[in-house]
This record gives sequence, structure tokens and C-alpha cells, in this order.
Amino acid sequence: MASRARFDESIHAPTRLRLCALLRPVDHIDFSVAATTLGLSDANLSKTVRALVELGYISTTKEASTTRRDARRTTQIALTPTGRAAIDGHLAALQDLASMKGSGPTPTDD
Amino acid sequence: MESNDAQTPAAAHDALRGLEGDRVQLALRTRSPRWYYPVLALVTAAITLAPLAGGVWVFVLIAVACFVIVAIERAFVVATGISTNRVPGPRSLMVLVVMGVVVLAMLLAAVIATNLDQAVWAVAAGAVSFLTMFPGGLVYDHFYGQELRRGL
Repeated sequence: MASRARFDESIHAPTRLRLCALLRPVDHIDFSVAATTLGLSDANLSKTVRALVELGYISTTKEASTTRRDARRTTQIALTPTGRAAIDGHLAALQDLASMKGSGPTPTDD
Repeated sequence: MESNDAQTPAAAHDALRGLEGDRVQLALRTRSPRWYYPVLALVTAAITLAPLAGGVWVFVLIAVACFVIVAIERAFVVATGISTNRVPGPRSLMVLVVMGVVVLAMLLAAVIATNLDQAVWAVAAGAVSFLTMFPGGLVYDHFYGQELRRGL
């Protein structure tokens, strides 16, 4: 991972981080597959997706389902380039932090 | 303060560990079905052997083979719900590049062999193409899964 480390508070919440990390190595993933893989309810994942869409970190597209007989469409979730840069930087920052000696808080701006 | 709590080595370690299970699940879900590489190998061999068909059939064979490749890629995405046209790390990328170079070289070799009326060598090139995709594709899958689980 050669990205610039940057701790991003907006994706550090566990569900947001897990979703972004899940999307990182793929092009896109079906909403239902993401929910199952992360073990989240549809409502919980939906809320997280909405928040990340508002931040511009992920995008959603709807596609006619090839496995359903009704008119419902499946939702696909993908990282945007901004989201990809954010999760790359955040994971790099976490790895930098995790590799530090000791467990005291790092100097911050307060 | 929350940002301080989050930005400790212990918290960072916990956050990263929390992602490991998801990566294992993703690696399991993106594992290719058993039919995938044998079918891909047959289609790749068909493309490599296309010059032997001669005339307009060369283009017909290549067009049909390309259509089949797109169809099996689409079948994979529909079956898994995941589109994975992205390599997770350097090893899988290297295997993919080597596979691509070998297949292209075999296609070129088959064209040259066909022009020199050396059908046996063209068939040999087709066989190498087949072996590159199967079992070669399984090597790619191995590194792909490994790098996905490591979160590279």
C-alpha cells in the first residue's frame, strides 16, 4: 500500500470503515451481498451507505435483477475515487499507528 | 476526546483486526467456481487456434470466443454479486501480466505457424494457451485470495 497516510474521522466508525474496506478491492458489490458479508441489517447498511454517499465516498447504481422475476432492481455499491483515496489513506494511517510502540494517545490538535 | 481515543496504537490495531473477518468472507465469496477456468481455457485456446480456421472464420471464431468471455465474466458477477476487475496486490498482478503475455505470445506464434503451414506448432501454441489459463488461472486465484485476505 503506497498511499499517503491520513486519518479520516468520517470513516473511522466501525460500520463505515468495514464497508469502505470491503469495497476497496472490488469494483462494485450488490447491496444484499455487502449486508450478508458484513452481517448487517438492510436498515443499518442503508443508513451507512446514505451517509457515505453524502460524503462523496461511495456511489450507488440500480440495475435490473437477473435473478428476480418481479420488477425490483438490485442496488450496487462502489467506492468513488475520493472514497478510495480516503480509505487507502485511512488504512495507511491505522497501520502507521498500530506499528507504533506503546499505547498512549498520539499528539493531536486539542 | 474521541479522536484521541481513536488515534492510539491499540485502537488502530483493534480497528484493523476488525476488518480481517470481512476480508476472509470476501475471499471466500470471490473464489471462482470450478467451471470458470476450464471454460476460460477452452475459449482462450479457441482464440489462439483461430488462425488455423482460415478466411472469414478466423474473425467469426474470435468474435464468438470474445462473446463467451464476456458472458462468463457476467455470469460470475451475477452468481457472486461482486465485480472484481481489480487486482488486490503485486503478486496477483504479476501472475495476471505473465498470463496475458504468454497468451499473446502464443497467439502470435500460432499466426506465424499457420502462415508457415506448421499446423502442429499452431496446435502446440493453443495447448500452451489452454494450460496458461487452466491450471494457470488457479495460481492467480491462489495469490488473489491470499492478497485479499492480507488486505494489501
